[in-house]
Amino acid sequence: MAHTFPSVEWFQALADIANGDDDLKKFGTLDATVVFKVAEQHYSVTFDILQARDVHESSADDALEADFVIELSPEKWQGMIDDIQTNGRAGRDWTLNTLDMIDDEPIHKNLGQDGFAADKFHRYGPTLQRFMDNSSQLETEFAGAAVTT
Amino acid sequence: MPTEMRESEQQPAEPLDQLLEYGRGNGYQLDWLRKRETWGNELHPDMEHGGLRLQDAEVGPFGEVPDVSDNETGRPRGALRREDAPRVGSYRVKSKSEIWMRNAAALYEEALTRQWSSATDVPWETLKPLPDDIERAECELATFLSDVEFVAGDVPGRWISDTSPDFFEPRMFLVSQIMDEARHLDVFRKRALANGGGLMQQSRAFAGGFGSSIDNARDFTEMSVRLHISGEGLILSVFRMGERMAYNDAEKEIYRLCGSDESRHVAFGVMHLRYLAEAEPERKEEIHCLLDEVEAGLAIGEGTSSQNLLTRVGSTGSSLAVLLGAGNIEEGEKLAQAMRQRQIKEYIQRVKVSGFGERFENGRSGPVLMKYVAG
Repeated sequence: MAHTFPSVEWFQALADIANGDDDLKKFGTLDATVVFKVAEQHYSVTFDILQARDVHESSADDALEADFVIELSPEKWQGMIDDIQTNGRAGRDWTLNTLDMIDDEPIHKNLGQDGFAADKFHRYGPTLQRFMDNSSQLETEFAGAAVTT
Repeated sequence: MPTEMRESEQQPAEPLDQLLEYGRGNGYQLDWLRKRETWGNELHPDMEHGGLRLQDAEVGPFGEVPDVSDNETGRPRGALRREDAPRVGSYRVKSKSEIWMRNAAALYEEALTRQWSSATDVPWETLKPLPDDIERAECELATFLSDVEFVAGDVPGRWISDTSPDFFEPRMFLVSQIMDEARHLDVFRKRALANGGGLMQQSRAFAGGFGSSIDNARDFTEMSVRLHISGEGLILSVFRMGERMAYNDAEKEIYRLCGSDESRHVAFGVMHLRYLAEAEPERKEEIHCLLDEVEAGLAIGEGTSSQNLLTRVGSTGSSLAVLLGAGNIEEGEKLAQAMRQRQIKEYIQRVKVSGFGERFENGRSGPVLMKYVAG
């Protein structure tokens, strides 16, 4: 079954995979609410110790409460997911970390200027990357595009 | 066990009094059997939310952190004093503001759950023969990083036994940092040897005394600024860029895992500096002077005194260019330049979060640094 990106269903499917992924859990516990921003849409996932919970579409105001927001253009989200589909995991140009490094501005930020919370992006990096890499297991179609991976 | 004691509480006090009386008459010191005021305050671990965490145990007198510690005997915080205890500790760090931070217990717990093994958590089997120039650059960088991580473990180690046990949370975090740095030292040593290259020459920056400038810090905060905010912050940027210059999944995993550890250490430094700025604003000027010194060293191309170990001069900086450019050193240098710029931007962000951002608005921060960021 194809999942449309972006959608609550797509992120929920990713959370379900994460919750059964022992290789993700070996990276350690988390305590963070992460908002994934795609154009003007926000999707919130709470990482609570070893579980990804409470996946929902949120508002821009809700994003203020998140530990950090990860924002990419729809084209870059698609590029990342395509690359993960092709290689089974993000290649070196498409990891969250590399994307955060290569542009003038980082892709992650805490909207309330809480540096400790924003730093969780780095501290939980291996887990978050594994979370995204698991999208290799999702048949994905992109909203507004004919492209299906 | 508290359960047993609750049963005993239901009994009349008389048996305890009788026992104490018996002890007094027969040479047993049993006064310790008397209940403390904290008796019966159970902790309730939430196994769905991280279990029984260190921060959950910061209750009552056990969670009271003194502003100034008079604990010279190694007494666990909150334990009752013994008048005859010897003064085993001669602790230099006695003031809370000298070492404290919010979230130290949480960071320590996070460190415990995020330990990994360089032997089994790195997919070494993905390491394949590389072109000679790339392999030598890998070995040069691995030599440098192994060197760096030795210092990063050695320096905080000196401060652990100098810190009052009343401030055990940051002490224990530093213990976890030393374990992390030991693992980083070993993983880069393994990387240097794994493909048959071996360790190369020690970095000029280290031979030039960078490590000793951290080690000579006279005060914990000074050490933390030099190590956590500046030194480890710069290395964190290298680890983050490491994924971009990885040639296989083994290297990618090494940099990713090391980056996760390193960012915890940087967070420790940032949060400590922030606490100090709030608790003792009168020390801010002193810290600004220290940051002046750090930033002078961060400026690019300042020779062997530079604290930025990735200046383009020297084997470490050029090894980065080789790796980033896949042998095309000109192309690699462009990427390395972007990385250095990002290093400085991230340093500025950390200093802002620490509560010292005014220096970037009032002209205090050096023009060389600001020009570099703008460039």
